[in-house]
Parts: sequence; structure tokens; C-alpha cells
Amino acid sequence: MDDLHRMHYVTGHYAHLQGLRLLPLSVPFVLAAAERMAERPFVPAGVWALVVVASLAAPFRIGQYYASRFGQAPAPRWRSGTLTLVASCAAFLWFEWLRETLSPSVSWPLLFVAIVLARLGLVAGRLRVHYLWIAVAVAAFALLPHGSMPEDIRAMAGYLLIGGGLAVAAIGDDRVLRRALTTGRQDSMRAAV
Amino acid sequence: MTRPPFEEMSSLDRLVHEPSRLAILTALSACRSADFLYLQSLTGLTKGNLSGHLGKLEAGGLVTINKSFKGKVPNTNIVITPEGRDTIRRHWKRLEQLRRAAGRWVFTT
Repeated sequence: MDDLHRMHYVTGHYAHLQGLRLLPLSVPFVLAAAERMAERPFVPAGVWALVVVASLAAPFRIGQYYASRFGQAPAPRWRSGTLTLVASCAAFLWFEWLRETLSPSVSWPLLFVAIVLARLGLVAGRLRVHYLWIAVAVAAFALLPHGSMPEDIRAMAGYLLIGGGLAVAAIGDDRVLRRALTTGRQDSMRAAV
Repeated sequence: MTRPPFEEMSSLDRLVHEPSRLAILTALSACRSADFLYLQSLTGLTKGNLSGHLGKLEAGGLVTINKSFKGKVPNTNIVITPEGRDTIRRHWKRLEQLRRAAGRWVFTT
């Protein structure tokens, strides 16, 4: 029965689990971290623009790959994730406003992001457990007191965290999807019920 | 007096409870529709087997099958009917009840 619950989850979140669509988005952040590390910009502005456009356009092409490889299963409109995304962004901005108003020693917006990621890692029998690891990394970064490291290093670590987090999420989600859609053999299904 | 859970199991709807069909209906209940390729990827069934199961579900009024062409490529889209959605919801509820009942059940001689 747990396998059937997972099938239900994977089908309902098919678009979200097409992880490789996130991978190109990590490139600009890793590149920005590399520039910070080098302490001088070494990527020409034209290349930067090209990288950003390519990283925004590539997910559509990758989505077509998933459709041709595994088929299509559009989620119900109320489960598209738009509402959750908007609510999370609003909450993030509110925590950001609180941080600027109260000046706490830790980053509340990032702690909020860590909690959201951890929740994602715990659903569906920890199917997307990789989000727990990202949540731990984000929480550790959020708890670093301001002034504990130079601003440049902090910015570089931030870019690396976002780029690395996107890459881990991308590869992890893709693995979850591939496991679900290529190992659903009849024998395992009979054992599931 | 209630029947022991194992006797209750024999009265489950076989059209829905067959493992492949249960998986198909469970998946369809989580989305607006799914194409043939997706269901084949998810269940690992052969084209012939999947086609057979979908035919039975369609005959039972639990799904509708729409065949069309995307360019020159044939596309089969499957949608769960409101009756199918209701049936699978009730079936899942019943399975959960049986699982709980089986957990509580004690052998008596």
C-alpha cells in the first residue's frame, strides 16, 4: 500500500519531480560564486546574459524531454503549486521585513526557507529526503551570526548554497522520478497491494 | 457481530482491487488525465496488458479513453470519471479500515 501512496504522490507531483528542469537555473549562481571567489569579474557581460537566458529557456526544452520519455500527467489545477509558491514568497518577504525591523542575530527568512524545505523532505514517506539535507545546509547558513565572516565570503557562500541546493534538488527529484517510472514492474506492484 | 477482516476482504470489488487496475486508478485519481505512455512507465505493464486493463475499467464506467493524433503520432489520453474517482476513494477507505481491523484482530480458538 505504501507503494501505491508513492504512485499517487509521484503522479500528483509529476511536474515538480521533473528535477533536471532546475539544473540550468543553478549555473548562474555557481558562476556568481566563482566570480566572488576570484575577487574580480571574469565572465563578460554578453556571456552572462547568454547564461541567464539559456538557464531560463532550457527548462521548457527539458520538460519536453520528460514528456516524450515518460509521458504526460497534468496535475489538477488546484495542485499546481502556484498558491503555495505565492504564499511562501509572501511569508519570506514578511520575515525579511521583520529581520530589517528587529535586526535579530540570525536570518529569519532563511530559517523559514529551511523549514519549508524540511517539510518537503518529510512528505510521502521521505520520498524526497534530499530536501532535508538542503534544509540542514540552509539552516546552518541562517544561524551564522552577522559579522562572523567577511561580507564577500558570506555572499560567495550564499551563491554556492543556492546553486548547490538547486543542483541537489534537481538531481534528487530526477532520481525519485526515474525510480518510480522505470521500476514499476508488475511483480513489485503485486507485492505492493 | 462484525465479520472477521479476512472475510471482508473477499467481498472487495475485484474490478478495482486487481493490483494493476488499482495502481492505474490510484494514479489517475491524482491527476487531471494521463497518457498511455505515462501509465505504462508507472505500472511497467506491457502495451497489451495495459490496454486490456484500461478496456475493463472503461467498460465498468470508471475511466474514459480518448484517442487522437498529435501531428502524425497517435495519442491515447485516459481520464478517470467522477464515478471512478468516487469508487477508488471508497475502495481506499475500505482498505484502510481493513488494515486497521486486521491489526486489532486476535486469533480466538
